[in-house]
Amino acid sequence: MNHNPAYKEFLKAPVNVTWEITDRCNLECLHCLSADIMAKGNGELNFEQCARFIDELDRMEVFQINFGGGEPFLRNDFLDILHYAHSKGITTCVSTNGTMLNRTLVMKLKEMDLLYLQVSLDGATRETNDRIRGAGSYDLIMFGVELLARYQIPNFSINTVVTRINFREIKELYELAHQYGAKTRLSRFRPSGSGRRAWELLHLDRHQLLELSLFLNSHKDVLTGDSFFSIASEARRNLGLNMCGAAKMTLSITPDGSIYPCAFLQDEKFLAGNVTADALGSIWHTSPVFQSMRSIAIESCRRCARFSLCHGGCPAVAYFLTNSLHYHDPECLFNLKEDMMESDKAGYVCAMQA
Amino acid sequence: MECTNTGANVAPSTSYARGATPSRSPCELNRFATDVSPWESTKRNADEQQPDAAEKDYYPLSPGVRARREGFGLLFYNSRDAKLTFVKSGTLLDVSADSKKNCRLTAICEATDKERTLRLLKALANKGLIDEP
Repeated sequence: MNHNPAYKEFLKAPVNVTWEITDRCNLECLHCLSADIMAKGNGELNFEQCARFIDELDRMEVFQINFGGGEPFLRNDFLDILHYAHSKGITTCVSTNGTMLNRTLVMKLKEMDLLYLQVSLDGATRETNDRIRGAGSYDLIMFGVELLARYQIPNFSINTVVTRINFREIKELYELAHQYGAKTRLSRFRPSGSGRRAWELLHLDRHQLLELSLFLNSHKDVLTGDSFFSIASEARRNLGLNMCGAAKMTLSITPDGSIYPCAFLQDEKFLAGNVTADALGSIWHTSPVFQSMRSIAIESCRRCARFSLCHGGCPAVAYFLTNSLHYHDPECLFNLKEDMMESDKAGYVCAMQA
Repeated sequence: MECTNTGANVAPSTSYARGATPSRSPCELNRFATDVSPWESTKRNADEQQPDAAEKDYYPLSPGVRARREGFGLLFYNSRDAKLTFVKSGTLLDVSADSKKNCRLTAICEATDKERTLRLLKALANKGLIDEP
């Protein structure tokens, strides 16, 4: 039977949007995906422009806004922006580096029912975290985490971008989050922004990717969002999105209002418009960039047994590593296993010849 | 009931609901059991005298749940866990709202579709998306 699941159908509007609300940040993380956007310094939408855009999201019946940056809490009007979104019934999720959290702010956040908070921490130890996020950041982040735990903020998670540097501390990070009553969220390191320049230093090798896949299998309470469907196994089939949601369920807005299909695809060629000049509904329905994202078909994956689990994986990783959106995810679990079997075979042949 | 989930933060995990004829989906979570006896709905506007006429029953969405119309039917979002539920309901169900906090589902029950509609409603109630009467 030719079954076409509803989630594959064209939606009339995004389910959620990722909004980099500011281009300012007080940290310089090695893997920052927004570094190139921040370096451009094109400025930010002011509160009135943000409110108008939220009105538009409301009209389109978008359910959730994922705020990031830069560091969102560096904006003086950020709480007003959150309140405005909540007044429309829109759920928000704020990705923060945690360094701005203090008692006053945490008490205000506690009053927000529609808020999810995601605090970034890239190591279970000071040494590891600070190597990635900068000297002194671990202590500031942990101060914030302790406040969130003390005041029992209900929906907060500790987010880690998994890299070669912190890979061996994933279990400790999981335990640390548990200790503070937070969920663990693991995000994929992708070659965007500073991540492109730090790719060789930070990306996981094949063995680590396979080990991570096993860890995720045995820790189903770990959140991954859309990060790891390329290495997700059958056991996690229903725990996260199993395909790229760019231009299908989500889109990304930069601080100056530019629209891209995804926060990891912010190259000029993927620019679809700007909210100060274009109606979001029009971009969603007619943008050639979005239509082209929706038509990506990775032929080499179609016969793969894992196709229903990843649908070819992350186009952004493929694009930055192979210069093509139509290439399968270079970190695909199936290919990793195949490659390893091949190298094992080669190793065996070499050993035999020796 | 089939499900796909959109996780809270960057991308949603999804829950994909299908009514009377469950079929294979890449993201089936809780397949709707067709042998469950239909949930007894509370009709608030049913015309008992005309069983063949289209009836409209109203069901309030659970607190924190939002829904919107899509080509395939309805798309639900639960702010308590940030999960989506796709419901291939066609025109059997509709959603309306007096305000953001007062959304309700309308079941448009043609006599021939009544059983399927009730099964959909039961599945939605089981998932906590509408209040069980």
